[in-house]
Amino acid sequence: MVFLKMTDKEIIEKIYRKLDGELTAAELHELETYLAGHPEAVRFAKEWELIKEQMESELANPVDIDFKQEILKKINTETYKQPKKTEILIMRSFWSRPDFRSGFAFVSGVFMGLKNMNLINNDMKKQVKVIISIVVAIAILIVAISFFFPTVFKGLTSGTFGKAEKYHKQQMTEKDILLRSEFVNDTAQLRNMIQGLIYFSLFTQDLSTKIDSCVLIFKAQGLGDLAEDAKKVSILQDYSDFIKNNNRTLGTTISMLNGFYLKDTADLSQDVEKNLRDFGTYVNTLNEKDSVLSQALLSMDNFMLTNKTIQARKTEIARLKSIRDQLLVKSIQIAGILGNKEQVGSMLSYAMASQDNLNRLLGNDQLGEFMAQNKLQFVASNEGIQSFVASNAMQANVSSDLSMMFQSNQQVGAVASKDKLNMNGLAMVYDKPGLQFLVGDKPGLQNLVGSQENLNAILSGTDNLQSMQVIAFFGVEKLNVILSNYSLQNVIQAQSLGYLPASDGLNVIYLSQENLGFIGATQGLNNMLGVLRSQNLGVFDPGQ
Amino acid sequence: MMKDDNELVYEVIHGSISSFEVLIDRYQQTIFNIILRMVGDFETARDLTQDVFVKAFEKMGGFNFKYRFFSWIYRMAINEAINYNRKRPKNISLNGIDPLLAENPEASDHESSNRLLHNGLLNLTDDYRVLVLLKYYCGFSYEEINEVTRIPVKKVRSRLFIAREQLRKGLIANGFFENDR
Repeated sequence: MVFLKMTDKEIIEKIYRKLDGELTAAELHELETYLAGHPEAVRFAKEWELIKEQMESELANPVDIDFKQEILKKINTETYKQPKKTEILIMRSFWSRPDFRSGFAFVSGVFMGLKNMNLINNDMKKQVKVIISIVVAIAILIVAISFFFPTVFKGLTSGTFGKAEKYHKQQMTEKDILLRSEFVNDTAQLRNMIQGLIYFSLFTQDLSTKIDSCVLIFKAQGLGDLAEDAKKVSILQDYSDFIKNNNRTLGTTISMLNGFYLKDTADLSQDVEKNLRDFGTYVNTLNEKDSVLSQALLSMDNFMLTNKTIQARKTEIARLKSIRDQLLVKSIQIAGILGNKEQVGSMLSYAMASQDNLNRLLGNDQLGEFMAQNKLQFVASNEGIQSFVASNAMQANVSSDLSMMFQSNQQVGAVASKDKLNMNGLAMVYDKPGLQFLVGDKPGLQNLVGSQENLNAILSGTDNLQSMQVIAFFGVEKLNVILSNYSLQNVIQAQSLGYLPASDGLNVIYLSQENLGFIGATQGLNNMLGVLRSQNLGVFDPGQ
Repeated sequence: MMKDDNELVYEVIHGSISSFEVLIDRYQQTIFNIILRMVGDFETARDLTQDVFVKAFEKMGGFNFKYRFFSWIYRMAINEAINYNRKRPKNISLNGIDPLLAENPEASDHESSNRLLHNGLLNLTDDYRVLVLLKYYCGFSYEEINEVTRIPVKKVRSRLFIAREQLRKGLIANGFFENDR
């Protein structure tokens, strides 16, 4: 065997690397072979094993301390800092960049000045002309630098977290560029994605507006006077700002993709990757932070339930509840869009559980009698929808029951009979003004609304007279959530929703004629997520 | 599900003290142990550890989410300890203030070895000691040490090489290996 000639330093380095567990099998073998013939090196290695052993024994038995209380005492909680708007880097178009605009204005100004001066004084001295030329050259240089070495715009967006950050460290390879090239040249995919992102943006913008209204109205009534509530309101407002800020970024992303779609942009750069990742981070954060909504809703409900002054003003309490209800439905929808099964379940559960108390405030319990007579029930447990489904044995034959339920709608019945939908006859409806959530089978619901026709109209979203709206069907294995008015025809077509970011056991069905944005939002998200995954930019995994 | 550090930081920034408590629980032990080995004195290490967390809380609004929390707070702890050592009167012997270093005739072999190791560590300069502590007491990779100290990985390797050699020589001189020979 031929030994490599190793200097002392190399041996020592190898011994350290062995201690650190960094040696490959071949290197280890090589070192051991060397050590076999060099007792001094063996001694060195043993010494270090001893040192490391001693250190590790300490590591395993650290000095046990707990200073938490002392630290908390020292902290002045009143002075904690306001949230910093964390920055996500966004590339902007040249014209939207201040340096480019300033440079352009500067050059224009100098040219105008030069022109004016020439008009005034054609016999300008050579020296002045030289100075002007230098100034113009500098101005051109500034513009050129801003053009060829674009700066990054630090958008006011908060919420870039570690989990998403790690993907920022990935290096782009030629293979990635090739894939990206294929992706941006896939016109159909691009078109769907652009459309979807626009819808997603519209939906989240609407959510943000709802939050703002809610915050404004509740704050005007005194929510936030208590420190704990003030924090929740403030966090909710931050959530809304986060959406607004990121939607601006989303606008940039859409413009960029639009550029590719229109073939305006020839070159492929890391901008696409960056923006896709930023979008992934945005979605991740929305998903991770959706508890902000439930926390704020809880705060609002407590406010309404405990504030005697407000309770005495029926108009005010009704107004508060109405805006709160809108936010609640929107919150369920965003959880649905994001495919967050747990959040949908807990929000629905909370929605139902909270209605009883809130409606009592309004004296709005007229549905109670119907419920008792027709064996309907509130779902008032916090165990979540799934446990409710599990505890209520589903007897109905899915397809036949659906056919019966929707028999007045031939098209729906025909499709349903194909057993495409895994539903049984139990549905959850809610009364829109009161947001009373009710669960019942077909006969119960039919009695509630007067006739099967009425029920079908409600279920198919064509009911103009009744204020009822269906929100969910319980299936034997799946919970199907209908999150807005919809046409049943669309529901049937929504079998393609199997591709949506819904977890196993939850189909999110979200069809609405007046709320196309909702459909598009989910599709857009899904399109984008598909691309993120296919491009190995995976930043989002619903249900994780 | 356990929240990651940066998520907790986000919540602290938005007013959650309980999230800060989680961060304290998560890091106080390691921070204290690093500082203790940097300054060699329990009481000082306790005070400095508390100061680190108080400062972390106060500065959290400026936390850059580009980085990981652990590197941020470890760096803060190391700076705190180094600053303390710089200001410490030079005429006070470490042996005089450090109970860990005090010789105890009734100490077990393990405790004696521990004392000698501490002594050896404290004889290193702060720059080298930090690297050894991060490597062996925190179990960090070279890349993670780079993240905490901002020293390039290559330099981390070369400095650690020297630090280890100095530590070994110091330990030979103070009789650390005598029982094993």
